[in-house]
Amino acid sequence: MSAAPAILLGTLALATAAAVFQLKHAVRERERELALTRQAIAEERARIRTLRADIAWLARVERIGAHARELGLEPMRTERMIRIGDLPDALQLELAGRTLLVELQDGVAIELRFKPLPAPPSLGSPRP
Amino acid sequence: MTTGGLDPSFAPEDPALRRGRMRIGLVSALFALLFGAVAFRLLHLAPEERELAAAAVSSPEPERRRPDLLDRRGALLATDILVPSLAADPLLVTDPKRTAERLARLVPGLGATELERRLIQAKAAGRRFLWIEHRITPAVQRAVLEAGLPGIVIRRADHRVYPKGAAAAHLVGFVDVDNRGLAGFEHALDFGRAQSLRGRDAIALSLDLRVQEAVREELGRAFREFRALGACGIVLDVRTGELLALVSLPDFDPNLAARARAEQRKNRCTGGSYELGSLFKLLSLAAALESGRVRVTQRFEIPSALVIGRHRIRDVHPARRPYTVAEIFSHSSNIGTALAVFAAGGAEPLRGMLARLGLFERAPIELLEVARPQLQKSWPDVVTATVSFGHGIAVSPLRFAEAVASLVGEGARVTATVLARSPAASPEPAERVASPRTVEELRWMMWLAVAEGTAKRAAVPGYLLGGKTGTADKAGRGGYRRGAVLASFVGVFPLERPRYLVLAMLDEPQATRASGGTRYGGQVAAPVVAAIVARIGPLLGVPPSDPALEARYRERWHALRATAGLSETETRLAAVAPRP
Repeated sequence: MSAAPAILLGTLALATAAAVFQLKHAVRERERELALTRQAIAEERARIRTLRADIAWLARVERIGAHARELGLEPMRTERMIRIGDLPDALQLELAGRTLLVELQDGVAIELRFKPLPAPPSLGSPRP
Repeated sequence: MTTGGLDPSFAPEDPALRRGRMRIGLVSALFALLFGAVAFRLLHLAPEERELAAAAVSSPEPERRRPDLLDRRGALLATDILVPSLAADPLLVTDPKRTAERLARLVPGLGATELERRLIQAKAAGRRFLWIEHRITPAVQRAVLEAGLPGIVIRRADHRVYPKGAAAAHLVGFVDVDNRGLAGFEHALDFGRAQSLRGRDAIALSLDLRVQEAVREELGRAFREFRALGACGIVLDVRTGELLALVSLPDFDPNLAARARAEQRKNRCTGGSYELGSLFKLLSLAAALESGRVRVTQRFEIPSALVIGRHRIRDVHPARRPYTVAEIFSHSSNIGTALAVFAAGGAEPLRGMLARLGLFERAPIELLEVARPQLQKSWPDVVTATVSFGHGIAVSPLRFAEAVASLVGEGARVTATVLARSPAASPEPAERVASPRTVEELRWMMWLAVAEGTAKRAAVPGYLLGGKTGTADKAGRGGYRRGAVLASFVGVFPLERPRYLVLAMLDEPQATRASGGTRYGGQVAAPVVAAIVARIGPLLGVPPSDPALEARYRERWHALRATAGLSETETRLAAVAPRP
C-alpha cells in the first residue's frame, strides 16, 4: 500500500521530466526555424532591394529617352492642351462626371450617370 | 465520565510502523523536492517577454539600414544593397607577403606592397579585422574563395547605390565607404536637421524626377552651348516651398563621387553666393512700391549717369525719355531702380524688405551646404543704389528664389524644403512680406518684362509667364572683371495664380550666334526657362492660361503708354529690337 503512491509519484516525475525534455527540444527546433525564417526574410528583402535598384537603373532617363526617340515620342506641348470650357460639348462632359443617387421603391439605392451624346461631326469621327 | 480499559490512541506505537511512516515521509519529501525542481525548470524554460523582444531585435538583417530616398512620386533615388567586400583577420594570415601578392593578382587595382604593409601593421597591433577592398564583383569573390587564403574572408555589407546616377546628385548627395553621409541630403540625414528621419524605411523628397530631368537637360544644353563655367536651375512650388528640381552644373555621378572634381561637387544653387544683378530689381521695386511712396505708373527722369559722390552709375541701354516704374522694371534700368528706391526713402525701406525676405540670413533648408549671404556693413547712398540693382550683395540662388516666391506668390514668406509635404497638410501661417496690391503690381511688371521688355525670349505659348532678367558683372580682384558675367532669369507661371518658380543662372557664359553675340540674361537664360516651362507645365498638369487675363494686362499697358503719348516703337527696348 505504501509503495503505490511512491511508484505513482515516481512515474509522474519521469513522465514530467520526459515532457520537459521534449519541450526543450521542441523549443530549440522552433528557435532554429525562426532564425532560418528570419534569415530567409532578410535575404528576400535584400534581393527585393537589389531588384528595385535594378528597375530604377533600367528606367533612367538616358535609356528610356533613347527608346522614346526611336518610337517617335516627344514631350507634350502646351499647344496640345485645351481648356474643358473651350470644348463645344463642355456641358456634356461636366454632366458625365456627375452622378445622381436614386432610391427605388424597394429601398435599393442606385447611382445614375449621364451618358454623353456621340461627338458631333465637327470634332471628327474616331479613327478606324 | 471514565471508561474501563485502555484508550487505543495511547497504545504504544509499533516501531516498524513508525519507521515505515518516516520512510514514506522521506520519499514524499524527495518527490516534492523533485517536482519543485521540475516546476522551477519549467518556469526557467518559459521564455519571458523581454527575451522574445531581444530575439526579435537580433534578426539576421544587417544593422539598421539608411532609409531609401524617393522622389515625390515614389521613384527610387538612393537605396542600400548587400554587396560582397574583402576583409582579413590579420592574426590568421600566416604569410602576409604571399597573401598580399596573390590578392593583388586577383583584385584589380590592389597594390601588393601597400596591402602587405597594412597586414603586417594590423597583425602587430593584434587587430582581428581589416577591410581590404570594398564592393568586389562576383567574379573577384569567386576567385578569392577559390584561392583559399588563410585569414581572408568575404563580408557582405550594405552599400549605397544611386540608380538615377547624376540626375539629382547635388540634392541627394552621397556617402563614404562606411555609409556615412558626406554631401546633400545624405549628409543632412546624419548630421543636419533631417536626423530625426533616420528611423524611417524610406523618405520622400520634394523632388519630381521628371521635372529634374527636364531642367537638367535644358540647362545642360545652354551650359554646353554657351561654354559656361557653371549653371544652376531651380523649380520651386510657390505655395508650399517644395523644391521640385535643383540642378547644379557641372554635376557628377554619386556612385563614383570619389572621382568627381571639387568643381563638380559644388552645389551652386545653395552653396554659392552670387551678386545676381538686375534680378534684384524685383525686390528693390517691391520695397519701393510697398513703401507707399512710389506708384507703378510714376515717371522718373533717367539721366545718362547717376553721380553719387565719386561714383557714376550708368545704364547698359540709356533711356532717352522718362520711364514709369513699370518701364524701369521691364527695361531693367539701373539708374531708374536706384531713383525709385531713393524716392521710397532710400536704404531703410530696402533693408526692411530684404530683411523681411530673409536675405540677411542663410536659407533654412534641410541641406548643410548653404552659403551665407555677403553683405555690406554700412549702407551709404552708393551702397543703397548698387544693392538696388543687385551689386554689393551676394546671396545664394535658392535664397533669392525663396524671396521671389514670397513676393509673387501670396505675399507671405516662403521657406524652401527638400522634403515632400503631404497634400492634405495645410500650409503653416507665414509672415506677410507684401500687400496684395504690391503682389499684383509685381506680377503685372513681370508679365511686361516678358511681353514687352528684356525677357521676350522667355515667352511660352499657352502660359502667362512673368519674369525678370539679370546680367551681373562678376567681381574679381580690384573690381569687376570685364566680360565675365552671370546671366540669369527668374520666371513664375501661371501668372494668374503663380504656382511654380523657375530660375536659371549661367556663370560666365560665352557669347555665341545663338545668343545674338551677347551674354545677356534675356538671351542666354530666358530661353532656358521658356523651354523648361513648356516641358514641365503639361507634366505638372498646369492648364493653359486664360487669355482674358493677358488681354487685361495688355490693356493696362496700352493705357499707360497712351497717357505718355508714346508709340510702340518708342517703348521697345533697343536691346530686344530685331537686329538689322
